[in-house]
Amino acid sequence: MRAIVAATLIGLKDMRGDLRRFGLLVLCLAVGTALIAGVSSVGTSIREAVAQNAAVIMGGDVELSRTDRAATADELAQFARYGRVAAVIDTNVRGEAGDNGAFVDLISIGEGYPLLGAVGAPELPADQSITAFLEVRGGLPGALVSGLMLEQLDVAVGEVFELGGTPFEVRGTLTALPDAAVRGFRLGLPALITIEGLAGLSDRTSPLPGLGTTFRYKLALNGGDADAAKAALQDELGESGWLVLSARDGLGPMVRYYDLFMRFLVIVGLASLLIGGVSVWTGISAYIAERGNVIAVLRAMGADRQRIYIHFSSQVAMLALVGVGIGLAIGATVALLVLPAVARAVGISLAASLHLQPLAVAAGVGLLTAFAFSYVPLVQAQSFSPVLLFRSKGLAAPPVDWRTMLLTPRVLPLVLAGAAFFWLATVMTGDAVLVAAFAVVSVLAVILFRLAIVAASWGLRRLPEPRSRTLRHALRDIGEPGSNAPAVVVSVGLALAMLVVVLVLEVNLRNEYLGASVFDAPTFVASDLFDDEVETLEAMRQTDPDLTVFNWTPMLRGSLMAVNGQPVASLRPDGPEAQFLLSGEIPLTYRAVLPASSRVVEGAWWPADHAGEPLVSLHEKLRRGLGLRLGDEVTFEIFGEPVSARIANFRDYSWQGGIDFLGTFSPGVLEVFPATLLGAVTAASGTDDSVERKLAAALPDVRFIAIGQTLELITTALSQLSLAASLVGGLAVSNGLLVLVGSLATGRRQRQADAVINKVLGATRIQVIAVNVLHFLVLASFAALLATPIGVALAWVLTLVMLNVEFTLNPLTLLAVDLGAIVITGLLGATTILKALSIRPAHLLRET
Amino acid sequence: MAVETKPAAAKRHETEAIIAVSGVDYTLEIAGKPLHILRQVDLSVAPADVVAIVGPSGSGKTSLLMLLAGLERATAGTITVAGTVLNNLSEDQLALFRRKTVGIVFQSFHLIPSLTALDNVALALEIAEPDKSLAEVRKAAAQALEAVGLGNRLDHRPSALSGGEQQRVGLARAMIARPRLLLADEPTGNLDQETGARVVELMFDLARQQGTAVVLITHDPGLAERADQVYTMTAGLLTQTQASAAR
Repeated sequence: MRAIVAATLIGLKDMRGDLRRFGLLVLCLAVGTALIAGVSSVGTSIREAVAQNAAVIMGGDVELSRTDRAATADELAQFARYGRVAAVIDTNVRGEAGDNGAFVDLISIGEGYPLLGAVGAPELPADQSITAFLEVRGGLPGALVSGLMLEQLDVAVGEVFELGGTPFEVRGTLTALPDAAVRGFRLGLPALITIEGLAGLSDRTSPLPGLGTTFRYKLALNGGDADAAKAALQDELGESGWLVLSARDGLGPMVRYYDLFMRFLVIVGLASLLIGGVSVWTGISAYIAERGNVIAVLRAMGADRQRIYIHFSSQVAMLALVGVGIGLAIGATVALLVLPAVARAVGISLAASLHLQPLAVAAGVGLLTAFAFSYVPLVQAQSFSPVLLFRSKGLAAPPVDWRTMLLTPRVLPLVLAGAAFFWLATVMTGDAVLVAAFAVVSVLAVILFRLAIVAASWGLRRLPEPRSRTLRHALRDIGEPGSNAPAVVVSVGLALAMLVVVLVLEVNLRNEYLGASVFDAPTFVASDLFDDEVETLEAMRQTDPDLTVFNWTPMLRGSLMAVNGQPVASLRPDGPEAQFLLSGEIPLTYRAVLPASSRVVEGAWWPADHAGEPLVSLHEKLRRGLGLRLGDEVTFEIFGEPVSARIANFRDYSWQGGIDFLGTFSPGVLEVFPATLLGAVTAASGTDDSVERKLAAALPDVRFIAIGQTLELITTALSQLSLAASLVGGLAVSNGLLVLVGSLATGRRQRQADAVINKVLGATRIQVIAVNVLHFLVLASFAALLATPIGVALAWVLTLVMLNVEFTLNPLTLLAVDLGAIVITGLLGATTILKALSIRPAHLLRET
Repeated sequence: MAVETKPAAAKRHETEAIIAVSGVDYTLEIAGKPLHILRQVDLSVAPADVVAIVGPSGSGKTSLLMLLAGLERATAGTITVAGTVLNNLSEDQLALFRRKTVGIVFQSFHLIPSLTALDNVALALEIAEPDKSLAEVRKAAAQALEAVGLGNRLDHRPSALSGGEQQRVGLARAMIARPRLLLADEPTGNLDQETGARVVELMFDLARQQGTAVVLITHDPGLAERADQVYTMTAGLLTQTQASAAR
């Protein structure tokens, strides 16, 4: 024991004066650990909050919903057998007060709401039910209105405004809804009234074409398990169109997006640790090679293999503790800082406290990474021979004897570390298959890189030497034993493969967040425009710089009658979009060109000059929701006449459906029917108020709805997530670059010595630099050639399996990343010999 | 195979030669062809004797030194040092043999640059005698440095020491575990004549005090003359050229 302590102390003392060289290694470990610690902490907070408060978050143990109609009396009685029921109807209407208008997300509640939790409104007395507070007083029903809407309508508590053309009294400011998290993204500024109040609205038409009404019934069970009640209700209701959710699966899109984000971060964390491990490998390998002299001295003094291992492993352990410690501190601090913001965004109360388990897991994987990736270089250190002390001053690292390493008990620590890492990663991700896939692909990638470099070296030795002297010198030592080529190719390749994975996932996540394309939210929308009004708006756009975009779309109403000749009564809709399509008359349009906010996910958009058979484009969720397929014939009734069209494509327009259409026809089908026009105006930044006044002055009969602000609330939240994904992706990219820098340290001494010899023999500085740049460019290009397909393949699997989002690939981004990595590797490679070129050869020759 | 390090075993061989090399060949394979470094080398060194080996560069002197230190293995023949037959020992057994029996002084000093003079010397004793407490080890190291005249340089790192001082630290390191054999590979090769002479004087004094046998390689005829025996290595063949000399 005393010997171990003594060896450890000497090992730690031996680090003095060389600490700067470990900066990269420590940084790489810290970044990977920080990512995992932060992500796991936030993820655990959300998971625990959801597990403990799922019912409160949803406002009930179970929720039943549909979009086409309210529950019948029989159905309500059926629900009531399970527990207390509270009804909520979500819809959108127009709000007005004097000349001011607002686009309203109207929440109408029934008796008993909320079953769990509380509505936030400072004016609401603690001992009064919300429905009693909002009942008719003085002939006016009451409403709780969001502060933003009060500002927009310029009304105060106690004053009167109109919802759907019916006067309401503002009874208070709506500050919080108990089930906000499960409502997901809602267009409009929220206002709360009773269902009786909703029944009195003179105009319940949605101001936007794609928005319907959702009828929700919250259920607080008399007792028993929510999942069992959900299953029993599903059995009873069969295919009657009710969507039944338990509290756990009822969480809304925002929570799903955060869940996606967390999964993405876990992948980035694992990838960062893996490339951090590569940094440990290359850093320790280079260090061991340069410390060959010390090892040989220790061996000459009689130090055995164990002593050598303890000497250097104590150093690695110290570095790992520092790196992991810094990572934990950063991860924990960032988690504490972002928790309040995450809580606001998700709509769940999250305690600003840290959990021990995720931090312990992060520390565990960080330390295991350091151990596993330093193990082989440290075992390699044991085989340095003191003979070298007599033979030369320059000591070469002995090659790794993989056969001995893998076929003897020496492999056991690696196997144990691998198993422990696997276990911890599974604890972290909750997905053993994913971790296994990640591990298998990573190991295969390393094997592939090494095999490829062996094949390339073999080929280079047999190829005729290039005529270019620079190229000849650059290629010469790639195939030589002891070359740095395998280390550079494997580390650059792995780092690049992980970069590709992170970037591809990040792009796909951004697509999921922001829709098919970057969506510029309009500021104002107006429906039922006439042709002359559209001409006026078009003229304003051309002359007024504040009015930057004006789009208009014809709008008709029609109801789906049949699919392939079968009446829709025989269809069983699944999901809100399908129910909405079958709910009666819905808005339809026709377009020659695919709108920028849409993305075709199956089939093809028609040519702009299409004049053939009638075609229709439907929202992709109708595929599963109604069991539709490309080529099916759908028949709508429009103005009493049947209109049939073949399904040409399915498209996705994500959450911005409020101003898009479930069904869009090809040109030449609907033009014969009278249509109103839906216009969307975008105001230049900061000119909303002046543009609104100009619009009101130019078209006093048209009611423009200001939706920009409400859309911005959503786009801001998603943009923040998207930005966060980009930042984290950027962090991983930086980590990859650090690894790349670290890998270049391999064989640096030898290259410096070669450079000096070349200089002594008469080579110019430019020639020496050119050879080195070319050497690294060749190696990095080779690594990129292998890494890109490996990274894309891994990203494809992870996108589909783990994130479960659409997979897209941007070849230009990949090309840019590859070229960037190749150029950076070349330039950084050249910098490793600059030191040798900046000093007099005699000095360096004496030193080496 | 156990290494014979017990006092009884050591005593048994006390009157016998500290080094007994018999019929040793050392052959390397270079590019598939044998390269004969040493041929049929015989050498016997008595305890506390000083042996100098001279000869041209590349003749095999250093190879013989490495074989005696257990750093290389003979292709043929037997090497016995302090009663231990080195031929069939494992790497770790050879390490154990070195820490108990052999001290080495290098031409290029080979001190560990990150450690102080005291730590460099203490390290050798701490490896040789792991049961000693850290305080004992450091005290002994300080005394060893005192003995080579560097009592005021304990906390200096090698970069802050002159060549002669570094070699004196190397000497203290080699001798601190009281080895029975000191191997010196051109110990004055990197020093000026005056400094080299002082280091050699010190080395011989310490060896005499501790009863340590010395095998040194040198190109310096003056130094060789001070040895008890002088051998000349020529193309791998070792011949005795001086039977005894006054020290």
